[in-house]
Amino acid sequence: MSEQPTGYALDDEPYYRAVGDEVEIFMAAWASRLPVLLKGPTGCGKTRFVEYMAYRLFRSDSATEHRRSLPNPLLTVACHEDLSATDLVGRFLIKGDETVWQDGPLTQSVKEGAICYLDEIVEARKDSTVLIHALTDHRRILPVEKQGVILDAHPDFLLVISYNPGYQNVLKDLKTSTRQRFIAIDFDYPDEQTEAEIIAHESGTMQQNAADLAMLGARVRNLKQHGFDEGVSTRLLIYAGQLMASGVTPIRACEVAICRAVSDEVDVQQAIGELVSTIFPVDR
Amino acid sequence: MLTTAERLGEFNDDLVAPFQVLEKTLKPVVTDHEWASFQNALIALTGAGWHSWEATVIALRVARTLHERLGYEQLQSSLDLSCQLADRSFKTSVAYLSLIEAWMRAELEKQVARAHALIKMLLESHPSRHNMLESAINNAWLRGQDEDSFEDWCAVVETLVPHRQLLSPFLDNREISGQIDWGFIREIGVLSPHGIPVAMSQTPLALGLVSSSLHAELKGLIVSLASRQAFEETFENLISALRLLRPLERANLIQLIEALPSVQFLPQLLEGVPKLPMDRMGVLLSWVAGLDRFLPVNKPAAEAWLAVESRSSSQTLTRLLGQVDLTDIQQPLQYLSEAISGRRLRVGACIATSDDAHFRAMPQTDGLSVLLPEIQSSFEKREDNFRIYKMALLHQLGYFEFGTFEPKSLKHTGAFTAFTAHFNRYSQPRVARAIFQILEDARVDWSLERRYRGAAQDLGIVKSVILKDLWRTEIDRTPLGYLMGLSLDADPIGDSELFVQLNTAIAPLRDAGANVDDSLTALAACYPLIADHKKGQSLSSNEHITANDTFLPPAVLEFRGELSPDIVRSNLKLAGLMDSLPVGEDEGFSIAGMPDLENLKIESIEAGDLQGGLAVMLEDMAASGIESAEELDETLIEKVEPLLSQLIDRPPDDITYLYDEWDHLMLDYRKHWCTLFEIRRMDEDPEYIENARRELRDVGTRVRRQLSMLRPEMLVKIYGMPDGEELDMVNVVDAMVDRRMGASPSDRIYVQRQRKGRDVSALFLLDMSASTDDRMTDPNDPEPDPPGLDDDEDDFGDLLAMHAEQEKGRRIIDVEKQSVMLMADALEQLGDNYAIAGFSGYGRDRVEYYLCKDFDEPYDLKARGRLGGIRPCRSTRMGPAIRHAAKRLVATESRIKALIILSDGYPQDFDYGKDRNSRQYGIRDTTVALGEARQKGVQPFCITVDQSGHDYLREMCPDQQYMVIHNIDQLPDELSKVYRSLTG
Ligand SMILES: Nc1ncnc2c1ncn2[C@@H]1O[C@H](COP(=O)(O)OP(=O)(O)O)[C@@H](O)[C@H]1O
Ligand SMILES: [Mg+2]
Repeated sequence: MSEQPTGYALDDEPYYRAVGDEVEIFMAAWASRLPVLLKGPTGCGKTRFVEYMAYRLFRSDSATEHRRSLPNPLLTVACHEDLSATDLVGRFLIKGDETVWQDGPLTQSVKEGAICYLDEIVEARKDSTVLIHALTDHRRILPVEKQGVILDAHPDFLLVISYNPGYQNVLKDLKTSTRQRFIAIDFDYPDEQTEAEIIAHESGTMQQNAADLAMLGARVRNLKQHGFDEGVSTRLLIYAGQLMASGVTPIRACEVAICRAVSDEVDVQQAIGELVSTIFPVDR
Repeated sequence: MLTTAERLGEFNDDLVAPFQVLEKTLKPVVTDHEWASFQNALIALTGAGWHSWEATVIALRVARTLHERLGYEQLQSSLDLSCQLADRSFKTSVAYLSLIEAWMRAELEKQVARAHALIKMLLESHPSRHNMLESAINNAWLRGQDEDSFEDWCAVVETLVPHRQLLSPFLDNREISGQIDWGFIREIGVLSPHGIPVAMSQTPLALGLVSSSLHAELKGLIVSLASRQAFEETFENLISALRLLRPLERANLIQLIEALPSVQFLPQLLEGVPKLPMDRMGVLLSWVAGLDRFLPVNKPAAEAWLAVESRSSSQTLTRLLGQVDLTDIQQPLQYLSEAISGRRLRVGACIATSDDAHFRAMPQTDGLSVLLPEIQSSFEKREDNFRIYKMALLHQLGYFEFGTFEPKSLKHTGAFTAFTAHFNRYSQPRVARAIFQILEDARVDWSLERRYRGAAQDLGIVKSVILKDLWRTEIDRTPLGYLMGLSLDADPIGDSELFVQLNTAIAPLRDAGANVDDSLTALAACYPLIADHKKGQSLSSNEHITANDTFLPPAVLEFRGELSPDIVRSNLKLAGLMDSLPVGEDEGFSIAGMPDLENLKIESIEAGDLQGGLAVMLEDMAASGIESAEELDETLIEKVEPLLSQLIDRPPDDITYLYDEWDHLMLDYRKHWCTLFEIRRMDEDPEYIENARRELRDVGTRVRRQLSMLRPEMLVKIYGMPDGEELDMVNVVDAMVDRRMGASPSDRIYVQRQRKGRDVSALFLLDMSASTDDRMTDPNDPEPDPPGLDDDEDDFGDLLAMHAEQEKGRRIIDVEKQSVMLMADALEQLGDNYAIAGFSGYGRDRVEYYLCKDFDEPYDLKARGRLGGIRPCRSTRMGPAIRHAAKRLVATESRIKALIILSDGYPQDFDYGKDRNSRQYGIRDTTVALGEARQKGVQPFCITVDQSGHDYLREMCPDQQYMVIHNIDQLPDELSKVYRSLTG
């Protein structure tokens, strides 16, 4: 199966709660079409941020006609260890009688002038990162070897990659030569109050539960050094909130959404269970 | 010929008149022969020695009555004995006769014959020790007052006669204690004369601890102990065990001891007492009945059962009562504590000591750790017991979370004793402190309830249980009792005005945002209501509480524990100070063992000893208001450093783990027997690795070459895939053909390259015991260097010696380190995931696991430095190290998990098994640990570096999991062969 990029029509404005000056920085980077690296743990809002920025740049009233008419202004590729350069650039397929070329998401966005978001870039094979280099210096070109062409990037093309430094895995560290080609925006889990807001908005659970979930998240993250790099993501907290919103008891919701997911160590799981029952009341 | 009167007169004139009286009174009532013998005896006595006429004076006085009451025979033999005594010292003789005289006067003449026999016996066996005789006589006078026990006392003395060193102190002991039961002591003496002094000094203590209805039983128990080994020690342990218990529990202990199959097991039972639910007799009896299955065959198992050291024993207990052991929940509570507080507060056990003011050690914090009781069994259900633990922990953490230790209003009153100083401003500081603790406890609980909805429910339950308990105790009607009740959310009782006033004073603490300063304000409001409350009832109650050294009832203490804010503040301050010290060594420390800062009077301290040194440091810092390291001058740092090394308990960043240990004698695990510290901070020596790398470059190349054969085909082509980078020509052609023929063609016409990585994790475990400091012996040259060669003084000789030293072989530890270094370099290339750790330690409470490089951690300068810094330390407790390494390996979830142990092949630790000299225990535990590892899918392999001495590892591993290497040159081939066979 070939990599199907997740195209995003972006009909509605995605909800994004800015945490710092990331929006302004991104706008400034865009102004000079500087490639952007989003650094931070999983589930802290990087993807959502790119979606939001894409909406602002391609759908808001100030966007050019061309941009607004682009059907898929944001092409997201979730990288994995078998993702190769071919998957990004494109390949020949046999269709009926003939072989046809199909653009990969990178090629497509280079041609159309869209944002290409390579999520968790370090997961991809090394050959895919090589492609990035030519695109991220002043040349802004993409060599398509199989077709024997070199594409100049559309003026609206922007490359955004994300990277999670938490893995602490030498084998999967982002090469300095790659890293140095990007503006880096650091992401982290938002502070408790902001996170509570986000959870409330995204999950639809009541304010009190959202606040408590945010507190739970902050406390669990105090345990970072014990067997899990990242603590609990905003995403997981939202999941728990969604379960609560649909009637699951808070403690049970946290059990299934958080305790099990965060660590395999029994003691840590038990501790988080106790933390949950400290924070959330038992329904009686 | 002179008359008797005249002869006596020659010695002393005073003798004449009394004798003449006797001529009138005694002579007529005795026979002529008796009278003659009597006179001879008098002469003999008077002439027996220097000053012996003094004895004669008494003899003359007492003769008539003595004859009248006890007959001539006793008179005669008393005179004979006096004479023999006077022969050595007139004083003993005088003492003896005075004793008789006194008894006559007190109409205790019945004792005379008994005492007489006793003194005679003493004189015969110890003729020259007149001092002892004198104390015997004096003591007899004392003991003879009680006619009933005198015979027993004499019998005790007789038992002691052959034991000079016991006899003298016994006779010197003039203690008049109505509690000494001589019949009981006599019984002890029959069994063991040496037990007598022990029984005499300890029995009153023991009896004082139990109600009188238990005295007979307790004495019976002591008697049965007396003939056993280590009577004194066991007895003392029994007393300290009793001391730690509440009265009811003491009775239970005695009953439990009686349920033992034999008192020989008492020492072990006493060891177990702190872990036993002494208030639950039923549980105790069912538990002790569990011994039957071991006896009479397996004594070690029975002993471990009673000491609650075996896994089966503690499991049985836990099952029986829903008791919660701290060790079982310590790790989760540790995590919970870190999660909630965001601090590295260690969760540990507080051990009750006998001089503890309270019955139990209470939850408390010193700022660096939170201590909780070892067990919790107040409730029937496990759930309830656990709840107390959790709430006690939350409460302690609450002090930190809600700012107990950061009062704003006390800021300027001295750094280390601010609270104490504040309480001292009240006329009764102890009362002020007690009030403050209640108020602050209340505030912290209310704050917890507001912030944590789940905890609010649990706190509610705990509070209401305690409140019920509280109203039952005597404290209820005291002002402090009211306050306590309020702090536990009691409803107003009646319309007591005091209650209402207190309620008003305490009310602000319920508000959100109330802080410790509000508690201090509330203290000011409550203090007059309580301390100055009308004399009478309330004050007497206060006295009662003061005498007990605590104001808080036990149930409250179990949950809220004790609060020592000044100690916490001092420790936090010192810890902060140490962290910011510019000293390079980042050794951790704990100040848990600090002197009692609360009671420390800074002015009265003298420099010098350790405590003084500490105090001076505190004084300096307090006086100069030092807040940061920059402000510390050199001299102060000099003072701090040696001090710290004394205070070092363990580095705060070490993570501890508990491991069970196999005891082959009892055929069970000893539960949570070993504490393993995973240490990250250690000496670093990156140069060591660089040098070794240079030196062993050639070997290194060989190792790498050997291992590179393991390198897998990183990309494997897989044909006939529906998707891929290249077309699979064979299938393409097939598909074309199909299509042309009108069949539907397959779309599986691609070649995919798939990465096939090695799914391997390897852990290298290095023995860092002291014995690895030895140099390797060359098997070809077993002759040790003849000593004396060193005497050669010229340079050439030195050179030779140096050369010999180098040639003779590297130290075992170096071979270990260098081997691992070579492997690490090779594995870096290969890409396998690996970890490196060393282990050593001292005793079961301190197994050290030095983690040089963790899985997924880069092999960087720091990691290499840690490996280079590894050096021989202390013991070799292999079992726990292997268990820990295996646990780590399992966590990697790799398909292949290899554990490679490099050691000198000799598991040893001073308490690795009760018998120091037996290696069996250690070997068997290590064998079992290796077995456990295998069961978890870990492949262990033991490499013994050097086989000079005791190659015990051979016993523990099957041949194919075991190897000996003699020198580093062998390594590339051998080690990589091993590695390949393990992971290939
Ligand atoms: N700042 C934020 N504003 C709005 N939603 C957020 C924010 N941060 C996280 N989220 C929520 O968290 C979820 C996970 O975030 P996501 O962007 O997928 O994380 P990442 O890409 O960093 O792994 C999102 O779906 C969104 O609901
Ligand atoms: Mg994402």
